[in-house]
Amino acid sequence: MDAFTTKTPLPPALAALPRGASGATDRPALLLACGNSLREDDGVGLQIAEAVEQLIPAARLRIVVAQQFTPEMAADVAATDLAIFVDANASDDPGAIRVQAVAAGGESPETHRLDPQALLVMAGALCGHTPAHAFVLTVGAAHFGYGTEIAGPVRQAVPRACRLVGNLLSAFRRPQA
Amino acid sequence: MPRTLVIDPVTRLEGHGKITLQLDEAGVVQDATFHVTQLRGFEKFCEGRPFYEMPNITARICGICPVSHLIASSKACDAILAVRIPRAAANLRRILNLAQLIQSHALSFFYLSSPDLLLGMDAPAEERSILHVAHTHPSIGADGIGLRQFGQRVIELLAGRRIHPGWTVPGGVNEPLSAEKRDEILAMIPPAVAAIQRTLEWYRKSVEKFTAEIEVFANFPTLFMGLIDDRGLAEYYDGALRVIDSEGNIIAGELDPAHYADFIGEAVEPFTYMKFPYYKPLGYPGGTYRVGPLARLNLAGRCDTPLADKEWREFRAMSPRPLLSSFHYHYARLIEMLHGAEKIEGLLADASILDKHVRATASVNNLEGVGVAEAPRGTLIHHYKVDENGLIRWANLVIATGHNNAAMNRGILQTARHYVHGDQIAEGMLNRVEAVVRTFDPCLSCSTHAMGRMPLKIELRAPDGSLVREVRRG
Repeated sequence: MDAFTTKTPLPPALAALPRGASGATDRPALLLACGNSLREDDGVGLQIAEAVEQLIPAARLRIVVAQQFTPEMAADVAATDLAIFVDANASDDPGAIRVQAVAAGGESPETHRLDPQALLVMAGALCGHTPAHAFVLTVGAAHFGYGTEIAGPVRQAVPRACRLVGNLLSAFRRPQA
Repeated sequence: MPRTLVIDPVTRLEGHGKITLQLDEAGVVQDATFHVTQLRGFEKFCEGRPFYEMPNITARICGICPVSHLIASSKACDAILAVRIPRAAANLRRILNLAQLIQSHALSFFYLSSPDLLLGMDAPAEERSILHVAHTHPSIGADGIGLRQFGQRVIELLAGRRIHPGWTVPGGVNEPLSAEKRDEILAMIPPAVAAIQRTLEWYRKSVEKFTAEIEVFANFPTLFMGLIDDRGLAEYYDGALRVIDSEGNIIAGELDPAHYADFIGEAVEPFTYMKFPYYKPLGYPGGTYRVGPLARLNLAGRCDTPLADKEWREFRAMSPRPLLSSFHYHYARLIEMLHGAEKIEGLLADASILDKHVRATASVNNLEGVGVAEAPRGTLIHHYKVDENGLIRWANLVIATGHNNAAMNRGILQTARHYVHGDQIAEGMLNRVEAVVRTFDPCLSCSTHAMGRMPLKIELRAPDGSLVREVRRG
């Protein structure tokens, strides 16, 4: 059994989306995690990536970690049919997990820092392919000072976030034979 | 009434800066200053740390050019160990440095400056972004992200990760290169070379549209400084420092980088945290010099790889003297990317690159070490003094961006005087003032690594300009 076929339910908005064979391929899904491990809770995305890496084989999920989303990652995004962007979220309560479907859009003026919507735009424009499914998974965070410690509620959200990643894979990426 | 125009923040740079333009009563630009408003602290808080930690600590100065700091720092540590590192290790570091050069130049050219070059200096600000380039010029945008990925992938293959890798260590590197990784890098080189050549072809055609900018984008005589090898050719990892004047005369042929303090002074201005290095024999500001791609291609005999040498000859054929306009940094950056890709291929073709012996070991044998290498933006110097236990007692970092500081400020003034007039200020005019800074591709994160009591002079002047009181600190 897949380590992530857990009882953690997908948010309703995601559960309603078409899934399975509709557009899914055997290409690895992509998890793009960003954050700074030296800025307290901002490192939670990296912790999620590390935890997921221990549980899901690279053939199913390719993991890229960075301090921010940058334009060249458009090529990574274009090479998958399921992209999951993981980050800390300063707007939500510490430890609160939010998963949202995301689509190409926006006109970010930034030049070497992009949001997921802009990366999806660039993937389509530059590489000719946009993933069939893309999600942003965030964990609420409160502390962004200097330090490697992640606050308790934020740290405790990591296992649940990992299960949600697994559920997204199960739901939106066709399992390999 | 005199007015002050402030451009804050200056966009599409690495870091945060501010430009102040002082206008007179007629709206003519009287003065221009480039303020670097960040303050870091590396030289100070490194004190007391073991010297062998310095590569990893100083790499954190910057997320764009950590490899440059790793290499200069490791070389300074090699000097403290008093070792000659294995040949394979030196060549692996060279490859890493060139990969860094390619990914950084790709970022500068494609992400930061190509919107100006493709869409025009007068295009609406909201359109001058790489995202818009992706829509309007997808093939150029694709080459840009491809070249940045190429450089980053080489760094990742060699050093384990793209940003802040820890593979370069005092005495060499901590893991040899495998044949599989070598072959993966070699397979990536032909498409990378093709992408650079396509970009060069497009650039040569499109640059004709920018003759006005070329004329006033920091286009004035300065010295140029950079590393050369023992044949006088472009060198990025080792070698001697050469200084030429604006006529191309070699005024210092083979300066020992370890003795940089004998010929490089650092002036301080009160309006910025970034220092103003100068060539000591000519004083400040007479000894203003430029470093980086333009300087390197101006002062080197050639590049030493076939395709880049062909481009270099065309580059140098544009003028019988060194090219003085900083606009040509863009062109030089592309040629250096081509050279970097060719050079990496050549280094990988040598079977000794797979040697397993890649690190020399020793304890502290010198209480002082200097490491110098060419970073993407120019000459980077790390200088450490340690006690007998190897703990850092003093550190000085002379950063590539800093070398260009005086020329950048002067270039801003030149460009602003041409384009900015007080009663008719358009977005495109201010963008050109920013664009002249972008030609230098300053990395402000790197250049403001210092902290503590900055030497500061405050002058109070009467309306007639006479000095009333002077306060000095530091």
